[in-house]
Amino acid sequence: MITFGILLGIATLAIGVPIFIVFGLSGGVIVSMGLNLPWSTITQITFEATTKYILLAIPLFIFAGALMIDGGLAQRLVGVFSSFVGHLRGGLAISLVLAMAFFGAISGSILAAIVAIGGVLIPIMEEKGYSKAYAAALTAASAGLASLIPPSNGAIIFCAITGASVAKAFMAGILPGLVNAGLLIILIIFQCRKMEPLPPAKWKERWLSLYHAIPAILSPVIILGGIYAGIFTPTEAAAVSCVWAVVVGVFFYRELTWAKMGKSLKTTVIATSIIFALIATASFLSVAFSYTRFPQNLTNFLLSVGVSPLSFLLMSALVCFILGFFIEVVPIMYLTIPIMLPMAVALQVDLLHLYIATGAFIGLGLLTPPVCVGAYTAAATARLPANLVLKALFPWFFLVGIVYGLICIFWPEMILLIPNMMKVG
Amino acid sequence: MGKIGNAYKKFSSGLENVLFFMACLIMGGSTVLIFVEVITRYFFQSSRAFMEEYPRLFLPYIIFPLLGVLLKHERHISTDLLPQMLQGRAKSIVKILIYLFVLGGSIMLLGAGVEAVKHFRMMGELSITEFVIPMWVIYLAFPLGFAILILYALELLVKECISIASTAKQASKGREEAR
Repeated sequence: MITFGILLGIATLAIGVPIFIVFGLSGGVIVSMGLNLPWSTITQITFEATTKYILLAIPLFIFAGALMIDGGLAQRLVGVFSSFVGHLRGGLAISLVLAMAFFGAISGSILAAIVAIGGVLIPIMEEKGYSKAYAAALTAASAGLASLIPPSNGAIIFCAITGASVAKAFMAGILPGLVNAGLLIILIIFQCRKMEPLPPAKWKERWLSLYHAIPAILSPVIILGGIYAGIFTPTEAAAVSCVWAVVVGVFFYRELTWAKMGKSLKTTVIATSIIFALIATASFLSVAFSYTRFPQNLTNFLLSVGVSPLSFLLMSALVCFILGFFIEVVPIMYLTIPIMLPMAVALQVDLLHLYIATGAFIGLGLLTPPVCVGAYTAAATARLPANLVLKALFPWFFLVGIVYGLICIFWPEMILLIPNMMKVG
Repeated sequence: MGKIGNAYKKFSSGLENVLFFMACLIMGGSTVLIFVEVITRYFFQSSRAFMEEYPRLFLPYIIFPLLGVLLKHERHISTDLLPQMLQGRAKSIVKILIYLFVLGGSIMLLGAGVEAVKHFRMMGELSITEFVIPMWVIYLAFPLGFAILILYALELLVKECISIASTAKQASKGREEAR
C-alpha cells in the first residue's frame, strides 16, 4: 500500500493535480491503508505543522513585502542603487542584484522581491538597451538572494522543521547571500562588457535618492536589530515590519491608501493559503514516511557504508536539485529535511551548513522547469512568455547557481563565521 | 437551468467575497495583536497570552477555507506541463481527471477533518488563553475548508463537462451542415 501511495503521488503530480492534493492523497493512502493509523491523525499532524508560532512570521513578512511594494518603498530602493552604480557597464543589472538583496533584507519573500524590484527595473533596463528576457532572467536568478539575506522564509521553515535557532539561521545566510550576489555581479560585468555605460548621476541626485530611501534603508535595521537586541522574536519582528511599512507608506511616501492596504492583505492571504496548504500536506506526508522508519533505515545504511559528511552533503544537494525540477521549494524542505536530519546529526554536520548547502540547490528549483515559480513570476512581471526567460536563464545564470551551491558545500566556515561571531541563541 | 446557474454564480462569488473578507480580517487582526503584544511587553512589561495564541490558532481559518477559491482561480502550484501540451478535448479530459482527483482527495481529507472535530468535541479540550475557545472550533477550519473545496471542484468539473458536451454538439452540427 505504501508503494501504491507513492505511485499515486507520482501519477497525479504528472497530470497536473495541485501539489497539496497530491501530497494529501498519497499521504492519506499511506497513513490510513498502509500504516493503519486513525483518520483523525491526518488532521492533527497538519494542525501541529501549520500552527507553529514561528511559521506565523511567513505571512507577516509576505504582508510587509506587499505593503512595501504598494507603499512605494521598492521604487526608492531601486532609485538609490541605480543612481550610485547605474553608470557602470551593466550598472542597471548590478543595481537590480543589489536592490534584490536589500529588498530580501526587508521582506523575506522571494516572489514579493521579484514583483517589487523586477516590476520597477525591468522596464527601465529594457529602455536602456538590455533585452527584456535578460532582465527578467536576472531578476529570477537573483531572487535566491531574498531567500538567503535575513529575514528569510526558508530559514523560518528550516528551523520550524529542525528546531534550530532562527536567529542563527538568519545570520548564516548573510555571507552566502553576499557571495551569491558577488558571483552574479561578476557574471554581469562579463556579459555586459560591450554595453555603452550610462552617464553618471549628479552627486546632488545621488544624495537626494539616498535621502528618500532612508525609511526603506532603516527597515532591516529595525527588523534585524530588534531580533538581535532581544527586543522581539522573528515573528514579532515580522509584525513590527508590517507596521513600519504602513507608517512609511502612509506618512513618509504618502502612497499607501486603504484600498492598497486591502490589496496587500488579499495578496498575503492568497500566498499564505497556497504556501501553508503545501506545508500542511507535505508535513503529513513526511510524518507518514517517518512512520515507515525510512529515515532511520537510510541513516543506518549510509553509516554502515562509511559515508563522509561531504559526500552526504553532495548527495543531499543532488536529491534537492533533482526534486527541484518537479516540486516547489516548501514541500521539498518538508520532504527532505526530516530524512536528512538524523543523518546530519549522526555525521556531525552543522545544521546551519545543511540549511545553506541544501538551500542553495533547493533554491535552484525556482529556475528549473517544469515547476519553476521564480522564473514564471519573473516572466509574468516582465509580461514575457516563460520559455524566453528560461532560455535567457540557461546556461550562465544556472551555472552560477551551481557554482554558488558547491562553494556552500565545500566552505562551511563562510556560513558559520557570522553565527559563531555573534553568539546568538 | 439558467436561473439555477445564475443563482449559483451569485452564491459562488458571494461565498468567495465572504471567505476573502474573513481571511483578511484574521490576517489584519493577527498583525495588530502581535504588534500590540510587543509594545505592551516592551514598554509596559505586561503581556497577554491570547495576543500570541489567537493569531497562531486562527491561521487555519486563512489556509483551508481559501483552498477552493484558489482552485477556481488556478492559483495552486502544480506541474502543469501535460495540460499545457494538450489542446481541445484531450486537455478537457485531463482537466476532468484533475478535478476528479481533487474531489477524491478532498472527500478523504473532509472525512479526516470530521473525525478530528468529533474527537475534540468528545474530549472537550479548550485553548489555554484568557478567553477560552473549544479546540474543536479551531479544528473545524479543516473540514470546512475541504467541504468548500469539494463545492468548487464540483463547479469546475460540471463546467468542464458542459464545455466538452457543447464542443461535441457544435462539432456534430458542423459536420451535419458540411454534409
